[in-house]
Amino acid sequence: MTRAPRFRAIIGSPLAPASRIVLGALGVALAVAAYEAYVYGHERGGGNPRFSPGFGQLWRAFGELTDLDRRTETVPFWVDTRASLAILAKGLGLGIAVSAVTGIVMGVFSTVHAVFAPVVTAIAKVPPTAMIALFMVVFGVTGDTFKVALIVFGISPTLAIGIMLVARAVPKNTIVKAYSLGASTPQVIAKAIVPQIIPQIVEMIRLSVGPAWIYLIAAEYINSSEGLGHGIELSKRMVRIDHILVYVIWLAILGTAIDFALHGVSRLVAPWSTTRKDD
Amino acid sequence: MAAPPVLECKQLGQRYRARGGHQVIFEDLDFTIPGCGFVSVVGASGCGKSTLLRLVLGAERPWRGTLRSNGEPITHPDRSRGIVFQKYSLFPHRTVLDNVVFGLELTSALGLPRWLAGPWFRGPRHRDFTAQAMAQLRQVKLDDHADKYPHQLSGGMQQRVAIAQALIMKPRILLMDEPFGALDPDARESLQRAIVAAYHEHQTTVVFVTHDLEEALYVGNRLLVLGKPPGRPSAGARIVFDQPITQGASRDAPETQALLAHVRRVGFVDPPAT
Repeated sequence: MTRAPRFRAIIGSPLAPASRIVLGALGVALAVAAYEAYVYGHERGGGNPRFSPGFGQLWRAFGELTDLDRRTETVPFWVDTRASLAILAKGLGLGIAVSAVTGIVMGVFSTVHAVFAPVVTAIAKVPPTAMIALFMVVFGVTGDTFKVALIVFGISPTLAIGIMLVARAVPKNTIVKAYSLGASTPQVIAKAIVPQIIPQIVEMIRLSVGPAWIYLIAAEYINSSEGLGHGIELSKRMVRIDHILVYVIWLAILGTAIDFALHGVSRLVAPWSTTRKDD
Repeated sequence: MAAPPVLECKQLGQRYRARGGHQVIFEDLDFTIPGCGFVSVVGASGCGKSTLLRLVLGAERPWRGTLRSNGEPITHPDRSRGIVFQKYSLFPHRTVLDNVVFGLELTSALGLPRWLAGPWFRGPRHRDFTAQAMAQLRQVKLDDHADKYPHQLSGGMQQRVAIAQALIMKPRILLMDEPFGALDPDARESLQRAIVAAYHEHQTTVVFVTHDLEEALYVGNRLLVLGKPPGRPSAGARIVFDQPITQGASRDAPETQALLAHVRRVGFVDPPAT
């Protein structure tokens, strides 16, 4: 009797969907186990349990944070979440709008590119956190304008350059083709260039959500009366490591949800690109 | 007075910036395509076959000479001259049907992208456009694949769509830039037959660029050969052969073989076998 040959997996071999799910769950389990091991080791070594809250303690901390504040009749945790998401949405929305317009225009028109590309590239090199002081003076220390400004400044130049690069990389043939079918220049941009690069634009937006969170949390640390960064700052003052960790886990969940949503947007807007394999 | 020629090319020359000056691609090209005809343009690589097409299309500016189509100088690409490239001829974000409809759709006032316009917000003329596009797709035998995206088709099918996409606009001249160069021999032969059939059906002028001399002889009814003057590889290419030929002539016929030998003698260099 002959035995079926055992195939060796090589780099690039696809994985069955079921295996991917099982292995992904394994990864989560490993992270949980690693944390529990730390908690156990820390306590065995006589460490202060305040610095090593177990999962039970984290759950209780979540309960405390989501308790109703009798004085204000609100739940600070949800107030913080709503405040942070509102600023994030404003910053991302404004940043995406600014960089999509400038990126596409720079990518399409070589004269605009020649004028603005060097400046934008230089601006993108400024560490956005270096602008915190300036924005606080210009946009006011109170209020959210300086946080929105920081996010916009932080994500726009890089995003604009990225969009510019993909717009320039659109095959010239498809552009000439559109003209030869009777398209005007605005039609070439709206119907031949932009739709082709939408999946890549959404992909770059997904990548800039991370930096947007960085600038938001940084701004909230410095000056805020609400927001997730503010909540973390308060927990730090009260040395509530368990509260901080609840905020951190919550940030991870929010970030993943936004990423998922954007992936869904990409599939909805560009159904052609999800079925596409490399050519 | 006779109608102006479909394409008139006078003293045409093109050069590109190169290290320390300019490289002349070709110069003194003179030819006229009076009416409907299938002109095959061959030449070794570097002779400027594709450059010539881009000039006829209006996608670049000539260095010297003039190009006129129906008496009008060519200044930019427009719908009177269609093109089929070797690659990237189709819009990846549109289905086969929407690729063919593209040109017609531009003429309607509501030129909104599909995902914005949606099926519920299409102009009343759209049904008519779709019917025309389906008829065009039937001609290239692709009506069963109307809802697929280009990346789901084989190379040969993609080129059939590209031909339908260009022909639906009824261009005065159809330009083809090595359209079958990336296809396997079977797909290549079937498309050569298809393009000759389309030429007879549409009675349009075709300028077909290829580096494959045998292909050029099979599809065209006029052969134009670009070649560099012997012994001067840095000089610009010129027309070294320009004569009517028999379209669809058998490859093994003695006349074809004699013609092949003659063209190779006057300056055509076959590309190295790939």
